[in-house]
Amino acid sequence: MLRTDRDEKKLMMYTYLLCIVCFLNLAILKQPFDKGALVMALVTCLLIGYSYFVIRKFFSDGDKFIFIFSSILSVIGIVMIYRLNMAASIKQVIWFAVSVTGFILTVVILPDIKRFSKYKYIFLAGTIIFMGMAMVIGTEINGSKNWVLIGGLSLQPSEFGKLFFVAYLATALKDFKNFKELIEPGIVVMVCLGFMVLQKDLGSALIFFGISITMLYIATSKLKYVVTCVGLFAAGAMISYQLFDHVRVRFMIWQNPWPYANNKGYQIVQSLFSVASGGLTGTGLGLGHPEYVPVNTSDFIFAAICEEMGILIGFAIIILYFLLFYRCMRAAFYEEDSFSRLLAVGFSAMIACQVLVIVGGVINMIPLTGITMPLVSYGGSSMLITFLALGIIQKISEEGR
Amino acid sequence: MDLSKLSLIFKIVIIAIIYFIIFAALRIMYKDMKGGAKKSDRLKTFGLEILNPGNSGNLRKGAVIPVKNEVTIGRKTDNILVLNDPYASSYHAKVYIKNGECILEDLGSTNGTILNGEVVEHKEYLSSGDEISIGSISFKFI
Repeated sequence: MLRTDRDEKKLMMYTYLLCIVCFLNLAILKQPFDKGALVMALVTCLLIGYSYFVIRKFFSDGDKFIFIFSSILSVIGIVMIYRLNMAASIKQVIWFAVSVTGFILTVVILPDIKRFSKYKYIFLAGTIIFMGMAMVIGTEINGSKNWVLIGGLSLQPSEFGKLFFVAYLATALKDFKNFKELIEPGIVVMVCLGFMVLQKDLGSALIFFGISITMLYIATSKLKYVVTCVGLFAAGAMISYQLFDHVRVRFMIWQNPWPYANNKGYQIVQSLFSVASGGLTGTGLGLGHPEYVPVNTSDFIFAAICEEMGILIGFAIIILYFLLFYRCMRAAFYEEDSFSRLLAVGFSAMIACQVLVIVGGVINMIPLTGITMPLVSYGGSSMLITFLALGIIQKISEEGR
Repeated sequence: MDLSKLSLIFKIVIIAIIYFIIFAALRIMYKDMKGGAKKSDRLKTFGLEILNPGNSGNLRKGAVIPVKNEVTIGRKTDNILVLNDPYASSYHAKVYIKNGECILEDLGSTNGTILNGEVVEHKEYLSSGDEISIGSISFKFI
């Protein structure tokens, strides 16, 4: 116990160092020395340090590495956003503070995760409401009708829907016995995917599919269901390819973006240029031209990071996500209760899928779909949701060990 | 130019720090995997001292039962602490550690668990010197 304590402290020291060095770099680059950057560095370090202190002091049984890894990723995100758009980064730090508070509150307030396994239909209702919300009162931003504006705040209800979706699937699959029990969750998953395709939010559709297939496999451990699901998904993808224009366009750009470089494929072409111009070690913070990439603070932040900090940092980010995923799955392994286990698996699958889909999209390995990179991208609701999910995993890891 | 050299240094330092983090993290993970489920050196240790063994032949007065992770108490033989007492339920109660605190939980027993003379409703934090009694058997928490 004492030994891991020392290791944790070492990792925390490295995190602070990373935060300070990055912001110092940004501060020196500006011609009049930029004091704002140092203030940002200090605020971020204080936030991380204080939250770590609270978690270590009062919840020493939980897995502290979950918080450490997620804060490292957030630091990289905040630094990059500060370089791209200063106003957005201040908002991001505020959201980071809110999310960390949410994380701690989840750990403190939630009584016993097992007790939530009774509220199956509440979760079901939550899922459907949040999924359908954007259809009814949504507005269209960047070609997806999945945003809801509430008093000046724009948020994506499907992000909140994800939490309920995972919770619902965990309750539905927790005592799996026979095939009949799979029909109801199956219908729910299909309805959700349908909503997502109608809202032109293909990225979320992919994530939902990834979550459900992972949870299905963990709950039933039967390959035949997974194969059936993949088959159904392929059929669904074919049908939506035939029916909807936006799906066809995305697919066409993915196959060969170059003929459309100036109109439909502009984003992806710029992103590819951006990644390529960075090379192995990048141009250095503030010296590249990520401003040519559209939506560079949220969806394409990975391209901007690769350009300015190099593909080495890009790889490092993927490894860090993998470590985070490993810690989350570890919490699931050590847990005995099947509901908590499925919950942890679902949330970790959610984060992993999101990373794979957006990183694959940015480097044109899979059709591009606009979703955020969890923790790194600019975006309040995405960050809040990710931290809430991590908070629940943290709570689960306390029980398991 | 001076600025570009500075930027080069920063660039390399940032990459070095990130890979240090990954290296340190991987080493911790390695230790964790190698250590397995073994989690021995706790800061505090807890135990239950038997004050009154009642009719249970397997218990001895003054013996101490160490509390590690979880101790389940009841009449059925798959409990960790088996009580031979007519007033104990099959799965009577459990004592477990969470966040460095020890918690006594009554698992819906018929005749109740008594902590310092009061019936435990659901869960109760334990502190050193507390007396727990189940049927005719009593323990002191140390």
